Amino acid sequence: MTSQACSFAVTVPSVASPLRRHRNLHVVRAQVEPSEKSIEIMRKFSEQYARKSGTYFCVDKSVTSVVIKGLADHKDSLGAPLCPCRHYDDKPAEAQQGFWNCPCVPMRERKECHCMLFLTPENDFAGKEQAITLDEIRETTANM
Amino acid sequence: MAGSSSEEGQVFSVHSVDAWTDHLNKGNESKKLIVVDFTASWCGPCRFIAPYLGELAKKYTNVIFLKVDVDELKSVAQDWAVEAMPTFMFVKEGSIVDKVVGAKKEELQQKIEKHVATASA
Repeated sequence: MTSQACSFAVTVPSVASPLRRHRNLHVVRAQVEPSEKSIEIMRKFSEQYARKSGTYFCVDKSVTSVVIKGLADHKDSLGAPLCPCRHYDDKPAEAQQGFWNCPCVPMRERKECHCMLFLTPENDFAGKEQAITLDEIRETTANM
Repeated sequence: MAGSSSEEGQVFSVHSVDAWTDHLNKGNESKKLIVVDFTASWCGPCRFIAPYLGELAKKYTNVIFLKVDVDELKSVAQDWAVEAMPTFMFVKEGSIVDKVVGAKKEELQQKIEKHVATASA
């Protein structure tokens, strides 16, 4: 019946993915890799801030890596490491305001990092490390 | 049945406002529970929970699972007042009935159980 044909057309993955790629060229720049320089800056910052605040990276380092890349991406595009785990109606205004620039106010005041970059030791997902190498970031985000 | 079998058992990524409206309308007509995952490309916890959401979609085949990238569908994220990612919105017959903010596996499954029970009752 017609409804079947319709749903088939909607769900074929090979149709969906080129569309998305095409769309990204024009609208979304979030998929573009952040600069190596910003990744390194945010990697070092993350290590230092984890030590300073007594927090730890996630047991799953791919979470840490993705967030570091997200911070680097915002540093490249906005000039500030705006939290990549929040939605803003106006990113440039938000970056300028600073509340959600990493380390954000909730992190500085209460050690709350919704992004799971800095986890207090009692957190179920906290690992034992406060260090991450550039290679680890590359490896854990290789097939994204 | 109103729901198409080809969409059952998977999380469907929505890439346009038109598709979004279409999915929502179809879901609302079917009176099924819709779970929307609002995500972002560089959000660590979103990636962390993604495989789990896939498992839930396989398990709860009578629930419609949608995924929306907030940077891709900005207007939808704005309209739905999404602040943090991941945010999971629970929609039934056109109304938001619940929400989970953060990669909270247990809470997510509990709320699906709860609303699925009332949907099929």
